Amino acid sequence: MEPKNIYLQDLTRGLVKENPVFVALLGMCPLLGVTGFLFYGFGMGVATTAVAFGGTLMVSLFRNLIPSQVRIPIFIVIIATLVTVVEMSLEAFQPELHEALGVFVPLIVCNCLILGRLEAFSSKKPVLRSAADGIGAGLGFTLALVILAFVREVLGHGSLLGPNPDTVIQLFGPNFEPMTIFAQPAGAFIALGLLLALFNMFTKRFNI
Amino acid sequence: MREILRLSLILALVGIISAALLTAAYNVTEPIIIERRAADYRQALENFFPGFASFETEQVEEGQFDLIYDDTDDLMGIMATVAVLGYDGDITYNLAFDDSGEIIGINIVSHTETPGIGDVIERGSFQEQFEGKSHEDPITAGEDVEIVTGATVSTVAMINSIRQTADFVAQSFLGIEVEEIDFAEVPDGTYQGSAQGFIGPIVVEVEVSGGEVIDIEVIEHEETATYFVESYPLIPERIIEEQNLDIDTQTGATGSAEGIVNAVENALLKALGEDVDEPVEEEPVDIDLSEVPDGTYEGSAEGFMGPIVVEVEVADGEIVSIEVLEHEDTPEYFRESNPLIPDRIIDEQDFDVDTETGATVSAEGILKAVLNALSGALDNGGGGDEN
Repeated sequence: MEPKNIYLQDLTRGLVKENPVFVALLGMCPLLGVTGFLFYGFGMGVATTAVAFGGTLMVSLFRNLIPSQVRIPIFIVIIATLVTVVEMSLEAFQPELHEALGVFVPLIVCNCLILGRLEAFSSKKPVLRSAADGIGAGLGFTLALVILAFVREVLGHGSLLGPNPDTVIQLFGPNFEPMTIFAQPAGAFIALGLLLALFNMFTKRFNI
Repeated sequence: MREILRLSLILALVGIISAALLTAAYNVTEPIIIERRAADYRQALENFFPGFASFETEQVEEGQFDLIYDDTDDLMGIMATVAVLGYDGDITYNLAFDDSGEIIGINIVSHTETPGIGDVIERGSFQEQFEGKSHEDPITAGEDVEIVTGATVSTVAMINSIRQTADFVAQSFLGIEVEEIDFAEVPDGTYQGSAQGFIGPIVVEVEVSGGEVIDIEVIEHEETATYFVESYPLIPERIIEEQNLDIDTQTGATGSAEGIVNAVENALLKALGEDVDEPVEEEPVDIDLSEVPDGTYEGSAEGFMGPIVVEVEVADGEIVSIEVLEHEDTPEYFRESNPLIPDRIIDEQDFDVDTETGATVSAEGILKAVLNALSGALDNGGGGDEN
């Protein structure tokens, strides 16, 4: 296989074939918690991708220096540092998003998707491949968040790009009664279950 | 041993590098964050106190209170930032008062109430009812402000917190004495008092001895029994323990709890010889249907959210139909009482029907409206409506 393709492969693997949400069912907690609005889901995805990218980069850079006995605590410290930086930047530059995501930003630390990539890939593979892998996993997670948030916002609020009144688009006119259940955590489970079923149906049919 | 030392050193090194990075990031973002928060807050202040010049912050147990001054250093008002436990976590809000203690407005800073249910606290229609109120008003659910059906816990929590904050601001910052009953001044004896509970009047008997309330008993109430147990005997116990009426009334039945406290207050006020505003004890109405001439009569009574107007048709000394013409109650709840209650009255041809439904207050309202229609028919000497 040509080396160029390897990077592309590392990048795209996380999108569909090994999607952290739809295939590996990782990172469920923020997935269910923040997908009430498309904007929040997307923001969470970007924050997670940034941490995944930074984490894979650092770990693969220093992979020969990190003693294997204490690798997990070191991974966690690296992730926690990145997450805290991301959180402070969000609070400074995207206060609305920071407010909405709340505790789920610090919780990126315990998103097994990131630790999983560090342990399984970055600690063994070269820097560029690891970075591609990290971005890929983050984008796959973002994709899942965006799809779920889209479904939930349309059904649960009848809007898009909310809740900011400057950008919100009401889709169905004033008489629309939204299915509030989808705006609530229980609805997140229902929507996720349906999406998983759809995803499995498609991957089976087209043999992806 | 050497190995352990080596690993520890590496871990410590990682920690130090991490700390250094975080410090750098903190130094970059912190000034921006502080500036943005201050700007947000000034914006909120500007909305309530246009043209204010400066403010002074006082941090106390009850919350944060900012005294707002204009450019001639005159007090314009007070901005309170208070947190209260709602249905699901803290509700943090700003409450703006003018310099006489009147509420100018409310601004919800953050909350985690259920979307579509508890977030009615953000709505103008809920918030506007507090405007112009002050420590002199009761600010009590069912009296001068209304809860929102379906979001009782969130709205009652807000109402109680707003009342306490209004009293606190008046007392602590505006130097206004909020009237409090001094138990020691009440002569020994047993006193009765009543006040509106969640559904109907609550009557209590209060025993005072040696300047202390030693016993409180609820003699009559119309509350739903399964909820009432949440407040009784808990609330009387709290009053007796603290020898004060300023107790925490947040229970599973806050409306009833408030009712008990107010009834005790009324009993003590009467003992001190003051005028009190008690719910009129309703005489059990006994209408002899056979005396009501045939005809169609209209009557109204207060429901949960507003008046309920009914049309009652009487023929041959019997009620043949009851129709609700107008009401302002929440339709989803009103369904629980209409047509159930009219059907029960017609079935039994009697007014002693069971009004405990999913919407008891509406049910009581319908029943009272029917009674009012019929007693009106009798008072008019049987004139009635000819149609």
